[in-house]
Amino acid sequence: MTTSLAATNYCFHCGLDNPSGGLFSANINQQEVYFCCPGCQAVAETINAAGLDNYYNYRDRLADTVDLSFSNTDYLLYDNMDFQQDFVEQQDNISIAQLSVQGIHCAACTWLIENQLSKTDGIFSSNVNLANHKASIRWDNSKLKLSDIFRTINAIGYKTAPWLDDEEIHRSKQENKASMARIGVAGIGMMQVGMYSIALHAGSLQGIADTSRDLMRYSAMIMATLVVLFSARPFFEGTWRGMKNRHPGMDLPVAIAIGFAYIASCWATLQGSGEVYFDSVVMFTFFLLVSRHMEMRSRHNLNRKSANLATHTPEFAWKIKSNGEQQQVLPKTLVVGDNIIIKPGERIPADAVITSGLSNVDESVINGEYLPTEKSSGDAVTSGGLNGDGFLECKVTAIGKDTLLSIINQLLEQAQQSVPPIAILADKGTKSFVSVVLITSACVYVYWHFVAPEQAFWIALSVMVVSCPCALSMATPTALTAATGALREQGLLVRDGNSLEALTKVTHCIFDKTGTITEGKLNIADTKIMGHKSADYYRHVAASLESYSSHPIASAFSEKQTLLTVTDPQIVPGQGIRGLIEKREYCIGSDLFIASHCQLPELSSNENMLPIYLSENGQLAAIFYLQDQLRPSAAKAINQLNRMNIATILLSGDSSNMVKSIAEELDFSDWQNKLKPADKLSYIEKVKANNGICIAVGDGINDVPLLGTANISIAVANATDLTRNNADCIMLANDLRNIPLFIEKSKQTQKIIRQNLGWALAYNVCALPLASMGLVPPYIAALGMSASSLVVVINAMRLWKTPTTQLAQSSQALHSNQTNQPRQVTR
Amino acid sequence: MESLAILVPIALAFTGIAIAAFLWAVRSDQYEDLDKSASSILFDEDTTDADAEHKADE
Repeated sequence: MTTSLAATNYCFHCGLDNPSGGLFSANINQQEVYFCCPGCQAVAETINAAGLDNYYNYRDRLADTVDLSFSNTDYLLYDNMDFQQDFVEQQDNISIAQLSVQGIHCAACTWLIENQLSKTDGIFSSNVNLANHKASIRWDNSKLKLSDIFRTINAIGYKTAPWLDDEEIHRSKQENKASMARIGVAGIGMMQVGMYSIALHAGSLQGIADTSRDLMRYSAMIMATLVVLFSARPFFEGTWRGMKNRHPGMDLPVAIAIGFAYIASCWATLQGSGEVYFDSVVMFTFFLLVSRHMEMRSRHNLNRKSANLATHTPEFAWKIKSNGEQQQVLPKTLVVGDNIIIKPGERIPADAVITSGLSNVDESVINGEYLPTEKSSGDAVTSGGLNGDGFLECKVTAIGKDTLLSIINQLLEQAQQSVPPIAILADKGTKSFVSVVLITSACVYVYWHFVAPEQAFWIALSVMVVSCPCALSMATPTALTAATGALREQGLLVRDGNSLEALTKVTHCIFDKTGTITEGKLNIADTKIMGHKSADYYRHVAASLESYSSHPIASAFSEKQTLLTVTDPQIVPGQGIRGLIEKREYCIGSDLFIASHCQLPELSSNENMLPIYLSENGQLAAIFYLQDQLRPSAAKAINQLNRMNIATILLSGDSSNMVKSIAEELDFSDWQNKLKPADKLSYIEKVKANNGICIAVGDGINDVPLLGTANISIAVANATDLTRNNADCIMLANDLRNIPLFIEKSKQTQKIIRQNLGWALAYNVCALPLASMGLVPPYIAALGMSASSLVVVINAMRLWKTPTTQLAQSSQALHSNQTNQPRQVTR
Repeated sequence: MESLAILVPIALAFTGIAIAAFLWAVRSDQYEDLDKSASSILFDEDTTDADAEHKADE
């Protein structure tokens, strides 16, 4: 079978490479399919058992890899009414919950969740919104508990959390509604006005009675008035705001064109003379609104993807009451000065200072460091961090909006809003053209005023309409919208469409190492055996012990097989784990931990790797070397960039030799290690001083200044929120090959923009003199205007064509593999 | 000619109704999620019912 290769190599559920070569398989639709992990396998089996395997035929995006760790959560806490009050409505026996679902990628996901829920006894109805990933569920609370619903959704591979309505979401919803209403009204108006205008244009060719003409004009005027006052309002408001700030933007030429043509046409209608251009006015408004709507949607998409702050704060906290009793409370009820307990594996609910206890705290949300820092009494912990293995008792120092996490986010938001968009640069051409048109119109008016005074105004107006900056002003935005849309389909969210323009001249591409070129995740690179058993057995022992720890090192050992039973496991925070397996005592942990009870050999220290020791009954049994692995796509991406003559540079804060070996392996043009963030900055500044234009790719908070200084910044998908908020562009699919693709696309975009501008200019150069001579009747002017804009739009749509990268091909192969299967409805 | 004088206002009135209906639809959240509605029509709804019956049979 031709498809068998794809079927074993890629996970049927999430499309990842199958590392184990088909260890996990299931029979779906009478066909053996393979998975990358037991999580994906379990989810696919659940989906199949529910008769919802059509999901695999319907979907056009691959699912997220299933993380088994969250499926162990029992969510029982949510059955507590106090916790429900924020997101559940109660009416007698009926409850309505609003949940936020993570992992939704396409309409098939919403179908899957809705169908899975509808099969559950006790659920009346459910609706999952694809745009904002919100699920509304109505259920009979006498039959079903909320925790059951959480687990039901969990079983098919999605994470859920209470829906928290924040202002941002509310605002974008309002914005979306207003924009839809405007487009609809402009569209309906366009059809109506178009109808009357055809009658008028035909009339001006064949002759028409004055009464009929006036009837048509007045009708068109009514519709156009509605459109101008309702739909075109944002353009006028934008102009007004721009004038007040002495920074007139894109809206000015639009407002001038719409305003003048509309007022002149009204004047002509009321006077019963001259020409009307209502159709041009309405069509122009409609086209522009549509292109702005697309822009707005991609912006909302972006905000949603990056504003995931709520997921970093826990749903509950343990408070120590004055009588010493522990009580579970909502984090928002905490006040400064409260004493709280943070148990192992829990998120930190508020900024606090440790009063007693010792633990590793993973604060990657804030600092992007994937290895946790050891914290003890007196150290500060920040909200959103993840507690490791130890119990911590803390005193709350800041809550809610005052926490470091929110403050940094607020600052970033402000900074983003105050940066003047580079869009103004792109509009400069349009603006100078508008002034040319205005001056020309004025000259034409003055000239005709002396030659044929009664016609002067109408000829001047036709000059303005025929050359109304429609095609010109749409040349750039339509191309940018189409290009960002195409890139989004590839898994690259572009925050600022204008970065596409800067990209064409890129000379340097600077990568951060950890988490960007590498996965930021430890893996076992090598194992050295001293004991009497096999390497596999010791790995198994290590995995079983480490399963008790939530330390990131533990995840390197996570295994797919059933774990051994550990009797009496003990976690020594910051050091390791001890436990009995098959009557032998094992200890796993750092050199310090193991050296306390057995002799360690002198090892040639390899700085690239982190050794973890395993001892068996007091004897050293094995050493595992952990290493941060390269992203699989890195080599190809660097290779492609090199071929595009772009200098590829690896900058790292690491002091190890690993930077050098990676740089040599991947053929980087330059590399530097032991850099402080300030050194990275000065590197970029040096490049920029030599007229270089650079892209920076990074993930952690330590990369934020780097990303801010570079001409274009890209954050990888698992970057911290802060980093993502600060980048021009976010990689959703963690495929570094999207970077050369991005550059390629920007070059295409540049080409299309040039073509568009060239066409619009050529059209105007022909039309302007003709109109100035009074040779262009209004229907030709309207026709010319719409034709010239249509050409621009159609040309820009060519960018939408999605390029076929290898990733796309592989997922297509997977997809066709599924659709080739005999489709059968569950019986 | 007279027919126009009647028909055009009627057309305008209908347009008014259409706009009102559209604005009502937007306000009642019907345009909130365009992506989902676009493709959900392609999905088989029947499986659910058939399956529910199947469950009942068991």
